[in-house]
Amino acid sequence: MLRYTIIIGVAVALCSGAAMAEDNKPAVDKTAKTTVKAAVAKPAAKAPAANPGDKLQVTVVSVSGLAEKRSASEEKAEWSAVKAGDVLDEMTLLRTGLGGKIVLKFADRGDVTVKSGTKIGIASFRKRGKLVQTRVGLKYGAIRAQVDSSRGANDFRLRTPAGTLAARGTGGHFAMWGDFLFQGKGTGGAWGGKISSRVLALIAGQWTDSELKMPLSILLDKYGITLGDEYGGLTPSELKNLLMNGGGRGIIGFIGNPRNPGSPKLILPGVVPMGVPVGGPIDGSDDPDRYIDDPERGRDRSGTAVGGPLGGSDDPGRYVGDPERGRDR
Amino acid sequence: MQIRSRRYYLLIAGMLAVATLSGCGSQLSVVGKDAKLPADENSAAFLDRMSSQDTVTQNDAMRGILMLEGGDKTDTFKQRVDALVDKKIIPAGSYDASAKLSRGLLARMICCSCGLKGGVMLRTTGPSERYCLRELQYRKMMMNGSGSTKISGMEFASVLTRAEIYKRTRRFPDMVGDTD
Repeated sequence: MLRYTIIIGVAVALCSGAAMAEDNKPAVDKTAKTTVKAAVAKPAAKAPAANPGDKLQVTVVSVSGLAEKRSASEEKAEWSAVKAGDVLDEMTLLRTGLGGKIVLKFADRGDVTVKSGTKIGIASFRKRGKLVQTRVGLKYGAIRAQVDSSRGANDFRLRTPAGTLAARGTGGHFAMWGDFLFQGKGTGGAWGGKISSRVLALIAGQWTDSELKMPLSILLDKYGITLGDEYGGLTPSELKNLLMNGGGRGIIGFIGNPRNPGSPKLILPGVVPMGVPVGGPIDGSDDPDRYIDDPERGRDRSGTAVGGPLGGSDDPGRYVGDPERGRDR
Repeated sequence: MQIRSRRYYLLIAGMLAVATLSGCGSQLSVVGKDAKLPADENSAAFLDRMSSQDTVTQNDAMRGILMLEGGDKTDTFKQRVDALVDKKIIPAGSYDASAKLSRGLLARMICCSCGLKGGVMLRTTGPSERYCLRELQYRKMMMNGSGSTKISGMEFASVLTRAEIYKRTRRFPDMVGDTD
């Protein structure tokens, strides 16, 4: 009996030791095998201070228009013009003027095009083993990033005031605006976006925004058929007034009062409740099953892709151009 | 009856004369004529400065529009107003160097600078703040909202960048600044 107890005890100790060793492994190894989504959800563990990695250099391939650089590590550094062939270190700030453009080459791991009216910072560009870690900050403006993972693993992250994006061998266009905030468009491979606790994977041809909206919702907003302007001829304050006071006030009552259950409800464009099927057969049928179950038509507002054209094409024109599949706001 | 009709005509003519003489038509009025901005500021530095401001003054806004037009070679606010009035980007009206820029005024300046023709109402009524704003909102060059709202520096920089892309390519940029 004592012998069995000792054997079981040793076995338990070995198993727990193996599990602890697994937990202590660097997150970098884990994320290399996981999806982009997981990569963003679990940031790579910080390397030990003793081995921060080897610094790599960023080269300026071409410059057009007005473009300037400044070292962020020196307090009193002045802005100076960027020239093709310049080699940039970490902690370099770059800004372009109206009509300016810079093309940067991140060693052999990809390139970044800084578009007109943009300010970015190169926070880190280092190699640790086979993994190259890149951290770029985007304050405002737009960039195009092409990450090349054919020569090794990449951990490319783009941080904006609205959120962070991570890529593993892919391309995309990203913008940070003062009004529309973060906007992203995948052009190849996969990107993972993270804003607060929300995570979204973005693949080629898909868009998202600062709320990490589902790509289909963005598509609907972009291609949704709108008669007249978005407000139907009303300003936001007029709309609010009608919402608060509509119903029982003469001609404007047709919109209905949300406080009065008996009156018809106004559904504003853009705030259509999630899950409500839109568009559909031209014969006016309102059977939700026809939208959801029919793979030729199926997509709902919740962003869940329920089917689509046969053959897996994701051409938005096929959805919008077909009157049988026409949809409204 | 004839006398009364004549009196009516005289009354109407008198009112028209008084209206004309009293300046019923718009007159240029500029407050803070000598207000200056940082000298030798290029568009990159200007956008960088704007992006850190909560609000935008009319003085700043007019420098931005002049940069869109090729560069700001003026020194004072009065010179900027005159330059923009000459280019027919703003009408002769009242301007204040330290007043905060509204979205409506920005929309009007952008529409005129980019030469946007707009839809039926904009073409019929000419460039007005209301319909210029609606045109730019429709084109996704400006965020939805009221024309009287004061604009932030980041928003101003973004709109200016999109307007420059349109002027350069004659195509409206998408949400990531592309015209492909």
